[in-house]
Amino acid sequence: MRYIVSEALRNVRHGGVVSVLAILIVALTTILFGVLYLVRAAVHFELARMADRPVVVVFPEDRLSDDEVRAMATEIDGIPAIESTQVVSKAEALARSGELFGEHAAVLLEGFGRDNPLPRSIEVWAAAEGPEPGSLAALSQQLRALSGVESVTFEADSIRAIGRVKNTVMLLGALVIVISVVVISFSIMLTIYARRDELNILRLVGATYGFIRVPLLLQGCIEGLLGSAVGLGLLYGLFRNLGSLAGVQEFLEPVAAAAIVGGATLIGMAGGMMPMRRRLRAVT
Amino acid sequence: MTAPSRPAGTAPKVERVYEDTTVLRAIDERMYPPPEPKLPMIDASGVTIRYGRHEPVLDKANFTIHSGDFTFVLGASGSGKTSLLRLLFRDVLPTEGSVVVAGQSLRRLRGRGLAHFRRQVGFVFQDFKLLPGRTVYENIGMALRVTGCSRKQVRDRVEHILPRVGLTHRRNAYPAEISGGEQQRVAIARAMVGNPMILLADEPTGNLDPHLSVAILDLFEGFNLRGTTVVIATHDTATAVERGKRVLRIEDRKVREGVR
Ligand SMILES: Nc1ncnc2c1ncn2[C@@H]1O[C@H](COP(=O)(O)OP(=O)(O)O)[C@@H](O)[C@H]1O
Ligand SMILES: [Mg+2]
Repeated sequence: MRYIVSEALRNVRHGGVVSVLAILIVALTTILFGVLYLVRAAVHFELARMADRPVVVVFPEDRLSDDEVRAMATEIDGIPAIESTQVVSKAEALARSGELFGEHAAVLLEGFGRDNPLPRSIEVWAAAEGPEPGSLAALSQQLRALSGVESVTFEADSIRAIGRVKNTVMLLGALVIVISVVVISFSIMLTIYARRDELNILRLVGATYGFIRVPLLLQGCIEGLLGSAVGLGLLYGLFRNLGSLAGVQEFLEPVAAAAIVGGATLIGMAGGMMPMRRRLRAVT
Repeated sequence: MTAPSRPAGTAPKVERVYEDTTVLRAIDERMYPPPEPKLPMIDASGVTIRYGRHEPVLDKANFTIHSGDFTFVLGASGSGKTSLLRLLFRDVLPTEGSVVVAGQSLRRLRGRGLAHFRRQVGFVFQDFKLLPGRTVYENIGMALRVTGCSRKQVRDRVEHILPRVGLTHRRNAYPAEISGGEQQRVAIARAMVGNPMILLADEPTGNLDPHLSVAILDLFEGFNLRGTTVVIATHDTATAVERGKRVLRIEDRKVREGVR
């Protein structure tokens, strides 16, 4: 065991530029990942906030009576994908816009007098926690087809945008992981190449592949571990200096930080695993 | 050489007398009596070695070496001595024919099996193949490390062999800091530290002073007396003949008995 660890550390030390590069790349990956994670948390927050708002707003035709509008709301409530509805009367709409305009509301309301220009509406909440952009479009289409519906609005664009951000975040994350694995495996390949004579000699004096491989795997782990530690340190520095600007209130919780370090270590091991068999066989 | 006289009742100081291998040999002989029966340790039949499209180095050669034998393999430079030793070490595979060493058919050996096989066969390479970044002690110990020996086992065995090759005082030196002769003894110690059944040595006297050659061959004879089967490749007929041991010669791509 002591042999394995000292051997792996020796590899990292003797790896020179490439080992340092591998560690830096993992650090960068960690930073990127940490930023993505924090952004992702923000995105989730945004999605949660959106769940509090109606996903679709139906505007009935003006000629319908209030009773007819309520009947329409009940009908919409019957659609399976829909959680609940709420009728917003002209007066309520005006009151809300009043809230919106704060202290100027009184002046505005007075100006409108009897002629309230705001339409009645039926606010619709979908059943699922986070509405899918696709199903939302279909739902609004369905609602638009009901008789007496003037128009339908839905928040497709912002939801789509958030979905896109989410996908991009995942894709970037995956890409960054792949790059890390490749760079670490490259550093280990270089170690194997630089030490090919030595590894060859070890084979000749009776070392199994396992004996040769384990320190190399551990080298990958150590590079992953060191890299993520450095990365977390830098990320924390970034957070302290720029976090409030970016609207990020809290740093990674300990569990997430531990997960990143653990993940990086595994990534390092994967990097160590990749080149192994073929490389070693070609060398020895 | 004669054993130095010493006052009765004092233990022999190994450090001081290591150069005189007769003493060690006498001790070793008493500790490890040579084995009785002669079993085939190495058996090669119909062996052809061919590198790529070149002319074969060996062509359907046959030879047998028995357990406990001390054998010289003689041949001109380029005749295939190194190839033959590497064959016995399964560092090259025969293009044709079969090689059985210590009861194992080499053709099927690979991976872990090959590693275990090589622990039973010590090889003193012509270029020594020492690890440049490790001390003498570490280089010798490496042959035990790879077998999973504990630190203590490694220490005990390396300490045991260091005086036998006269390297106790060089234990912490790196290969680049010691002479060619010393490097060679490191290589010999590494080959022997695991107590292998077979010792293969490629031109071990190739570039040594005559008196050093004698010392090295004495060392091999000492190991042989303890039961190790020894095979030494050399291009020097005199070296092979002087010892009065068995000689195999490589000639016309065959392995033949005797000097000629
Ligand atoms: N790896 C190799 N590839 C191609 N040819 C080789 C290789 N090793 C040895 N040879 C050739 O095989 C012949 C025997 O070489 P070798 O076994 O080293 O002879 P010796 O040790 O008796 O000098 C030589 O002609 C040499 O050039
Ligand atoms: Mg040779």
